[in-house]
Amino acid sequence: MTFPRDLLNQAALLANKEPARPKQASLRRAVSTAYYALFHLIIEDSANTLAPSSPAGLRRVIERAFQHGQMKTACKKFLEADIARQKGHQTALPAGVESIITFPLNPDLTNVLIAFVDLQEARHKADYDLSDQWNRLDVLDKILMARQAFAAWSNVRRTPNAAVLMSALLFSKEWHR
Amino acid sequence: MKEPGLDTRHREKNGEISRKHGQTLVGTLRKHYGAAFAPHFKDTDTLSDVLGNPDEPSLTKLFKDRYAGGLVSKITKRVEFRFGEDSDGSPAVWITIVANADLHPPEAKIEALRRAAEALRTDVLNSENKRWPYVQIKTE
Repeated sequence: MTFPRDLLNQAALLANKEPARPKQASLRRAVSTAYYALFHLIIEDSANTLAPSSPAGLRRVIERAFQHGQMKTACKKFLEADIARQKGHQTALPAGVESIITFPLNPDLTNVLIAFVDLQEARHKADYDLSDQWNRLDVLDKILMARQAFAAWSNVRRTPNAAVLMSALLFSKEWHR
Repeated sequence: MKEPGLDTRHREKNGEISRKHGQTLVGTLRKHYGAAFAPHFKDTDTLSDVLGNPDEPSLTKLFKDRYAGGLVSKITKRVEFRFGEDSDGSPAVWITIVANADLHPPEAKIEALRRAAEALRTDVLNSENKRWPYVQIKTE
């Protein structure tokens, strides 16, 4: 888990690189790096969960199969399902998937899902949308969000719901066929 | 002195308004905030309806009241929102907490805003709003 943690620390360094007048380049790279820290944390765990350790290198190949957009959609669907269940509504998840998830979701898992969706959107804005200026407070908020998601993930990564999520991040598109 | 805003018995110990208050009637809220509160809603609509279809003055009032007397209320100027589509084309609402500029924000300030942002997001997620809420902070 060294690489994701290093990315998270690097995000904080970038956010504070220029004490007096933070450069947009530093702030934008900090947001992007905070997202990638969480992204790599989750895909590393997911590959380790979904693939055997042998042959060497298989898990790295699995990691390359994760797609940002699909992961974001899967996180949203989990959260929306949790909210729907709390309201007594039907979820949009396939019945077979819904039946193996324990509701309500653990708040730590919810925090990770929300952070992933939010940080991915923030990364998109930081990398591609130059119409808005970033400020340090917002960037530090995003980094704190990522940091809290790291802590939350460590609490739930071995749970059955996390196992379903990690599968969903890679396969959910196929589950609706 | 009575705490401003929603009745004190409706508050959690940390000052947050719990999820069940989504059912609070707009008519009840108008007794606190005045007749102009959430002008596009009926007395019989709920707080959840307002959060699902917010107008900025009402959202700002609710937000500042929730944290009345605390750090978040002091550093928050207003709450803005805009509707649109996110990067993958899904309906979204961007909620912006406009705060006082601070180049070197202390950790307590960042953490307080973080908690406030998540509470706001949770309210919107649990409302009838169908747009995904993204919360951001602007400074001025």
